Amino acid sequence: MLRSIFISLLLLWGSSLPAQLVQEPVSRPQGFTLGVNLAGPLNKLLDGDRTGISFLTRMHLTEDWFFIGEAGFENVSFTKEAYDYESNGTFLRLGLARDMLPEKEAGSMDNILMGLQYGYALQEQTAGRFSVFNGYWDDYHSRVGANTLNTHWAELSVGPRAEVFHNFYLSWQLNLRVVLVSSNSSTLEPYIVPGYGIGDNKVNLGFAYTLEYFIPWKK
Amino acid sequence: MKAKHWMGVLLFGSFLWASCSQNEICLSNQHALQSGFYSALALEDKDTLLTEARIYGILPERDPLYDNETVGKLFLPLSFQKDTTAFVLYSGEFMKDTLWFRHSSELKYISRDCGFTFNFELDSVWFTRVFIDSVAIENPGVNYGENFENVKIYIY
Repeated sequence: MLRSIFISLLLLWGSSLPAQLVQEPVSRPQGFTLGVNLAGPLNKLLDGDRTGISFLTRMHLTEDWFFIGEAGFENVSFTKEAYDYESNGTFLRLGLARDMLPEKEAGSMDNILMGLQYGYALQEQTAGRFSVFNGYWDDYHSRVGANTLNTHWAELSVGPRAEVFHNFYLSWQLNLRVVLVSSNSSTLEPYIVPGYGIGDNKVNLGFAYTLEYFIPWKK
Repeated sequence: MKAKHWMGVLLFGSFLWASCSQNEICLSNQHALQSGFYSALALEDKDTLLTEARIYGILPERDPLYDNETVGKLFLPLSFQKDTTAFVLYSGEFMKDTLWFRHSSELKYISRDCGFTFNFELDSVWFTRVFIDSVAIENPGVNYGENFENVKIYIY
């Protein structure tokens, strides 16, 4: 019984081979994109204390493999009852992504990109005033001076990218970010690590909306 | 992919993003040591009540934390500024004892929403002996987010 099923499956697979062999390979233009990640401005809408933006490029290494580079900044400034906080920082993200779209239609430039990136952020932060409220004895007021810290993280990204106009792409990605090393020596944890997100978390879920313009170098 | 699909994706993404950044709840009264009253006459730990209790901090004198109440457990806030926090305990009008707690403190950052707090380590305790028989430090750490009884006060 098992043998007959195996033979049947083999025949079925064999019968589909000629159809696969005659299928024309779809060739796509190669090149690079210049774009902007709108995650920073969208964060500003959700959390007015944050200001940031980043710019990126995606370069074809092969037809399915891309190099990704992104650089940007993110500043945070707020006044709360418990403390005032200010942080200024920049970040860099470098990595590779692969087009996971299984069947490419002729003329279509859409992708499903899955990638792995390395992220690095350099920031300076300070708490110009903080208060610890006792409620019975005297409250405590002090400040935390400026300190500079580095954060390194790894990032897994996945999401679709579509050509909405000729050479003009719109994409979103879901990012899973994991801190590798942080050099913070201060009592104060960063409120936001630029490019990474919430500084308290060792693992962050992030989102990116990107607009890109494609510049072909090989048709 | 059509524009309306993208709009749906963007809306979904925005909702996901917003839902990921919920504010956390900050705990209050986390710098108060917790103590319970136990019978000094029992052979094993047996909780008891202090009647007509009036308890207030001293050095300098503060308003009463408990005023003419019957209490089995106390929350006694520790001072951020000093390494010794003292309390006067009255039971009724005339029975009076004093407790001194010596402690060290460490400034800790809690979170981006809650800011800073002090964690304490109880070092030693002194007391007068009118209705208090003895005092035992069970858990010396008075830390944010923990809910332990730190001190047992044995009374007659």
